Amino acid sequence: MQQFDLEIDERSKANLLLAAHWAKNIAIGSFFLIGIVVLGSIFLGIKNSFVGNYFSNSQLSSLFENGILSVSLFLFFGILCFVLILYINLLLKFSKKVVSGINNNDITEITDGFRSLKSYFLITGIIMILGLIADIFSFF
Amino acid sequence: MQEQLQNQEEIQLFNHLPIISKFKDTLYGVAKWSQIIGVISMISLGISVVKLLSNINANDIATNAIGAAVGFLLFKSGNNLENGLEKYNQNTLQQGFRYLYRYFFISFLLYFTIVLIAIIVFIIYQL
Repeated sequence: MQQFDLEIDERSKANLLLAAHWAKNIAIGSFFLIGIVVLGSIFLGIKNSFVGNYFSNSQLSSLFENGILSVSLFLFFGILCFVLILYINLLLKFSKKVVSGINNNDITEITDGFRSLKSYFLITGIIMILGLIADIFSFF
Repeated sequence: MQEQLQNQEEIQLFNHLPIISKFKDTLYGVAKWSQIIGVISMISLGISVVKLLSNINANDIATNAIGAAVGFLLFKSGNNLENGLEKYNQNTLQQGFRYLYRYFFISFLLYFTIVLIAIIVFIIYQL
């Protein structure tokens, strides 16, 4: 266990704990929302209620009838949810590690927490850069 | 003079301890990406404003304005964390962590207000 009394003072610890608390709330809320969306999709039935009707008059309807496109769509949806869970888990990890590190006065744990936050910001940043590029291209 | 020397010694100690150095590097990474996200969100708002002024459809201006406000907090957090680490200034570090907390708090409020409105609209639409 590494001591770090010199590096982070009490006020910073308090602010960090608050940041971790709200990050945890965001993560839990996001997990809850993903759960609602997944359950909603299962109960509503993507194929019958939404996609099936939407593409009923198009050439794609035959693909839906064969189940090829609906399976692909479910697969895509599942992978998307999985990636989202991994992404939000970084925020939860940051929160847990920082709180535990501050309580145990362990800087390695806090460093692990910040590493998760860095990864979270990195992914967010890359997505935002891609969005910005798409936004700029929409001009032309 | 003596204080300056002591501060210099502290900076050297701070930089040479491997665990502290790892912590510092990670926090630098957080600060750097916070600033990048903040700047991008403000550029996005700028693009929306230019679109609006050029009479191009700019539906996303409200979203981008909120994003830029939250992004500014993140940018300030990153900036303060970076300065605090460079100058070994506890007050600036404190400010950085405070902005980080504000960023998460306001993000939480905005995120769930939007979700709540979406749910209410969905229920009304269904009824």
